[in-house]
Amino acid sequence: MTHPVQKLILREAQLLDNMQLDDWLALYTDDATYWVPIDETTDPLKESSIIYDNRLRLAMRVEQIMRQNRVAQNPSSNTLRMVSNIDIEDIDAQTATARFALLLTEVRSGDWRQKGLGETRFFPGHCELVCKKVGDTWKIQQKTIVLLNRKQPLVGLSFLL
Amino acid sequence: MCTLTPEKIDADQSAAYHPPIFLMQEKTMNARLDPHTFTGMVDEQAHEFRVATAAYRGPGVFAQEMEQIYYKTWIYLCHESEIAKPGDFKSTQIGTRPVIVTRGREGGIHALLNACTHRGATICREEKGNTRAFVCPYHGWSFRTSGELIGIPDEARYPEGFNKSDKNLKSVPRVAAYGGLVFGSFNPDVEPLETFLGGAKQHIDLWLKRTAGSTYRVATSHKYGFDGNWKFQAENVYDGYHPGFVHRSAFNTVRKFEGSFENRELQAAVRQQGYTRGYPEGHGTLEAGAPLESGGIDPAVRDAYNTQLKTLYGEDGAAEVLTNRQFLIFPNLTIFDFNIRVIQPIAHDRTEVYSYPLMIEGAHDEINANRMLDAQTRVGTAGILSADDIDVFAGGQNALRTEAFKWITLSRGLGKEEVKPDGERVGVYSDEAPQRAFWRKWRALMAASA
Repeated sequence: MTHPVQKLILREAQLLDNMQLDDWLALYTDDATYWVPIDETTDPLKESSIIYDNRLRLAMRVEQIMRQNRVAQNPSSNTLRMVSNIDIEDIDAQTATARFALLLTEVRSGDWRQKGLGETRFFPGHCELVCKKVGDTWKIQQKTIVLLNRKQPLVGLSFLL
Repeated sequence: MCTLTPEKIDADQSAAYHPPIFLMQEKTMNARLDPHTFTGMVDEQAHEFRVATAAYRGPGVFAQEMEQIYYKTWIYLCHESEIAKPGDFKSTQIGTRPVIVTRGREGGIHALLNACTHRGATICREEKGNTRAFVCPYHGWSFRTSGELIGIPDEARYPEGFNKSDKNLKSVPRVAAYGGLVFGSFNPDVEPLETFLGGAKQHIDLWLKRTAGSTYRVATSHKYGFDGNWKFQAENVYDGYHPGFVHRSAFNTVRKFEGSFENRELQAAVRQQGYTRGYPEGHGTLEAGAPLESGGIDPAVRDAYNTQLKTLYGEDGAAEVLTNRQFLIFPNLTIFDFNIRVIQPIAHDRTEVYSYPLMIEGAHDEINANRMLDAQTRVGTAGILSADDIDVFAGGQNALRTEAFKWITLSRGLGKEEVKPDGERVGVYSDEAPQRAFWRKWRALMAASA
């Protein structure tokens, strides 16, 4: 039988690819953290991260993209997330951890001949989740995305990874 | 066998000797534009200040910017906290030249070309670290962090009289620091650093006061890049005209999430409070006339910090220190309240930006955590502000590649700004006073004969 956390992982990728970001946010617990480290061995409150968000800051990102017409998402990013190597471990009846590999491909079209548009970009990374069963539903309490190219210049990230 | 020392070439030139092309490299590889061309690219009249779009494009202009600006004046290398201990090093660039900044055994700061003096291999491949010596991966020549040559494997095979004394790593001839900011210059005759800083010095002093008597430590930098000219980012740093447009989405979002950022008034598209300043040395500021803080901090912790500032600097002094202020030190260093931003030119149409969150040594954890998240969430790689700026810069490069469009205008506040006797110009928040100061300096350096 497919582990419910595997379904959660695939569901998350699908919602992000479909730009259903409000539904995506609902997959996270109220006390969730979302971390895209530069150095995953450090304390994100003492060293820099690409993103270290709580639920409030995640909600702000969703708001800015979905309803506030942010400049760098005009035209918007189209994304494809390929998820594999999923490894789920049950900690207790309400807790599970998961690791998986992500290859995120992103492109902004519009007038593709213009600088800044029309480029197909890749964001490969190792992901880790801590998931909690809230009532009957599995949710994400912690997500960490360790990008391979985290220590070098990226394009400005105006979309969600 | 004939060995050509630079002195010898010069002497030979007078006798109608033509040096081989490879010895003239930087000058011949890029067709040099007449210095007067650059004078004409910045057109200042009483009613308009224009800049030629040609100043933003082409490898020719870029190569000459490297030579006339980046290798002639002071360029920021690092913050002292990045090389705090003997043996600490950091890889960086002055212009497009690779440089290692180091702390020597004796505690001095050195800036060295990252090139082995044997066969030119790159000796340091790391971004930062600590080492006793740099050992060349190619043939094992080794150098102290001061650049001094320590060892040549199988040295006996070199000829009698082989000169080792000029085989130390090449030093950047001038290194100096002010307020923890380390600068280097390839120009041995460059003016003293404090003369260069000029009007920006008082703003550095104010920025240092935010530490409440302590010092800054920079955290790892956010790094992002865009396909556009470096000057787009330089001009944007103190642009008080753009936030209500480029950053409207961020401001509207902040307004919807009360307490996320404790912001000043965000209703007006063009802010009416605050100032811009431009200095004859090319530096400029944007000052909001009000603080800019984050939410989510324990009020008691913030009060304690504010009280500390008031005790040190008085009521008015503390208010001045806490005023949101960002300034550019010509040509490519920006100081913000919470971070240092370095604008690294890569090519005429490619720029990288490194943004270092600034921690205060010894401050309450919550103050520093707040500064970290502030620098990250606002102006980091995934910042709610910076990603939108750089999208505009790429668009700018796209638009300005057409030679049919000859001039952009930087005339807001021209003739309306206050001009002080020492040349400082003060405009309102949305004026283009600092951009004009930048371009006046750019013109002066670019037009100077090599």
